[in-house]
Amino acid sequence: MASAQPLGALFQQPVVTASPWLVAVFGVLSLAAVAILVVGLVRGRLTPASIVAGLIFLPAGIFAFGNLVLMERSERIEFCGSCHVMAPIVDSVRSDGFQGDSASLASRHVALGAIPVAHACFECHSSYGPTGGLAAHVTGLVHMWKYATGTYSFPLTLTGRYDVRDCLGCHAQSQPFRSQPVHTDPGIQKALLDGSMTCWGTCHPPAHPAAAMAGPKGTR
Amino acid sequence: MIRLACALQLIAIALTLSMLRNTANSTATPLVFVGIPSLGLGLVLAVIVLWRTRRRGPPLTATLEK
Repeated sequence: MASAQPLGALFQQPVVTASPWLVAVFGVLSLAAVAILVVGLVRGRLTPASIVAGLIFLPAGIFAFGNLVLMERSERIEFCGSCHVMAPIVDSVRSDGFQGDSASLASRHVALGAIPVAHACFECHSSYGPTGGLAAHVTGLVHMWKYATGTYSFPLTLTGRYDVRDCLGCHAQSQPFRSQPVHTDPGIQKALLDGSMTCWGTCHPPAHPAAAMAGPKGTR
Repeated sequence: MIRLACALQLIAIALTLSMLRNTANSTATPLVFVGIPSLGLGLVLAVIVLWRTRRRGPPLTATLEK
């Protein structure tokens, strides 16, 4: 695994931490809300002002802030990898590199630096446009529901078809992509755009290795 | 009713703090599928409690002091 090699601080992913002031304000507001709620729970009554603050605004604000953080953190590869079902796929994306039989399309993109490893899943599984990221989050919710209820089966498969325009967002203007004669063939362009042909399978390796799609028991 | 509302909001806050401490599938799933209904029901109960408190008016002692 190339990423495990200690190369120095220059090769570490930058770590983004929350502002200490933001953490402190959030902590104080959370403590205030918990104090009001515990008093209400023990005494069975609260003043109208305490009800408005402790039962409406503070919990709603804390929850909204928490969900904003969750939206941001759930775009990270660690979050996807925290689910046992996805762990083999995430491991493959991170460590398979760009050469050899096990190298998938996703691991090649990461190894070549074409997509940032920290957001690798979200980069490829979210579409462009204002609703693209939101749709990816909704899909993530569906995945969480299926995982929680056990309503999934192996091997994992892509629901629907992968929109090639998500690939073209980066590749359409790239010189190596444009200079490939096969990419300028009108018949192939039509087949790719109408979904009758995909990039992988015919010309490129699969997005993820079959062993990883088979679940935790299917990996090496 | 106010005790139930407080308990529901405490659950929502506890799940939020747990998720913020360690964001993973194991903490995000309860937050989404338990925390959201808990917060929603807690808010509805809080509004009902507030409405009933206002409708009942100030306590008798406070009225007499005026």
